[in-house]
Amino acid sequence: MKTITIDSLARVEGHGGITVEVEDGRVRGVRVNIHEGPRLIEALVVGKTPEEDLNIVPRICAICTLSHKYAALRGLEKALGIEAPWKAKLTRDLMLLGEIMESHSLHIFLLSLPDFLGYPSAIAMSDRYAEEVKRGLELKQFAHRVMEITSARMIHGENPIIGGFGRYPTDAELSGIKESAQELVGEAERGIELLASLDYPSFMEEETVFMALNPPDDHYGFVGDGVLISTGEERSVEEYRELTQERVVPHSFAKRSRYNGRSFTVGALGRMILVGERLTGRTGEYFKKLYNQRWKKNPLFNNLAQAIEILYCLENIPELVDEIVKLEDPPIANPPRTDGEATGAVEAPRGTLYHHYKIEDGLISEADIVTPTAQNLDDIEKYIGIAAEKLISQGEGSNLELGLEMVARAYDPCISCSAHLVKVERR
Amino acid sequence: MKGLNRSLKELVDSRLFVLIGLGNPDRGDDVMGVWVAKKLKNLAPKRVFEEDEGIEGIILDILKRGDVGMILFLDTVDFGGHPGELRLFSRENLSPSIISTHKIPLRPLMELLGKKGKESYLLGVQPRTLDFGSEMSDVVEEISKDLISHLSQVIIGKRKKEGDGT
Repeated sequence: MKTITIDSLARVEGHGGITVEVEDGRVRGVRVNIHEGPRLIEALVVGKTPEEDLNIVPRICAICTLSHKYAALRGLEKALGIEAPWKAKLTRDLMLLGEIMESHSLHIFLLSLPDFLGYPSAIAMSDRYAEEVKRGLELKQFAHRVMEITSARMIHGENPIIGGFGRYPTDAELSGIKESAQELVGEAERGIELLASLDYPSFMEEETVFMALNPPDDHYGFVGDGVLISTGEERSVEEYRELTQERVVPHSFAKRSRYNGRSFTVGALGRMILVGERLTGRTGEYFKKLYNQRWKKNPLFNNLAQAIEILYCLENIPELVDEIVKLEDPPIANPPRTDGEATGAVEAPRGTLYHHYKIEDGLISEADIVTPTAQNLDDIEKYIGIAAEKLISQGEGSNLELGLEMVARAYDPCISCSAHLVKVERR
Repeated sequence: MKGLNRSLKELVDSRLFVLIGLGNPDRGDDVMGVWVAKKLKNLAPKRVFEEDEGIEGIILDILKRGDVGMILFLDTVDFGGHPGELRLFSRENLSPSIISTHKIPLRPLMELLGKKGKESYLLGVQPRTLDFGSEMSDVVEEISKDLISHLSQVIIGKRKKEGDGT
């Protein structure tokens, strides 16, 4: 059989690519292009009820489906003056841990690790990597189970509703995932050890600005109403427009973000840098052992940060379960008003996700959603530009595409199905 | 389809195979893999799977099973052929660096299966349209029906031969 390389598989969730223009050995331009057609979700939900919105917005992304659900819930409930019951809040936190783990497992073990282990250039996969793939599948399968139990479906679950849950997970279901989480801790630790043992190249290093939500009570976590910035500031999520300052660019359908004129990064790396010191247990021990100043300059450490977050999820799931099973199923909280305007945010796997809504007479009149990948795009372009300059000056032109793809992949961007994510145009 | 039919027939005839249909039902011809799997599922529920059942669980289960010798992934693949054209790929034919943040890449899965003594192949159908919200094209539907007819005969034949009620 003739050997060919398939440039793209037709399993399309999004289209994108990165073009680097090199002229006379100098980088002349970097463009992250998102070709995926605009789906106009924000316009689609106008005139809909908050309940309808909750069913529509998770379709923005099949990986971050529950992050969108949770961010929307936070925005809509705040706008309508609803205080969700404590059990609902804890169960939503649990479902988000499932989604974070699910996304990170796929990204680390099946998408990023091959680069570090030299797999893309190898003819066949090593035995070592085969075991990592299996580990990734096991962690991902468990995470899917958490998502399914809490939301009622593996993808686009409908259980979380405004004011509570349609049905809370049973004690037996919760006990099952608690037990599985405890069993998988060793797998997550071995994953961290592997990620920590890798050589992280320095060809793109430069400091940037990081942002992450500030979880309450000095805890680590993925939910909060304040935004921490590595400049030392803290802003409210209601100020998300000033924080992201979105703009459009001609070469891409995706919007771009800057904060005070500077590109910035959100995601696991930002969370570790801004609130990593709050981690406790084995997760805290790993953070203290592994964290160093290079993390602030090198996006490749996002992979290691994600591996630590997988362990964080596994350590926290049993604690959350213990707290949830103590509580009776509360009634659904009803909205005291039909008008309001507010912003909700959660930390999605790839970073801070904002949902802003204005509701008039019980119908949505304005919606604004700012995704993590849109916030990261300017920094992706920046780091790819730096990396390209450095690799070319070091005479590593033959490894250019792989090196640049490693940088892009570290961000886990929501642009799928590009066989060659980075295209270098040489003149 | 005759040449491929022969190699496909040899593959599925000689092994205890599992079929996994992949694809996005909202993207025109990309529905093909799951459409075919759905049609065959009742014939052999333990040997035919759809992507939505959770690919990681399906693969981990196959790794534990002693009654699976070969795994056939079925998906639309843009390999530059004519719409509806079929092509069979072994794992060596697939780029290891295919990037998708939403889907598990096939090559590492096929490598893992190979390391555990399970051969796997990707049966690709060249799509005509992948537009969001579009229907499956006539040409891809036609080849899908041929596949269903061919694979159902093989499955029924195996059931009779093995009496395992797959």
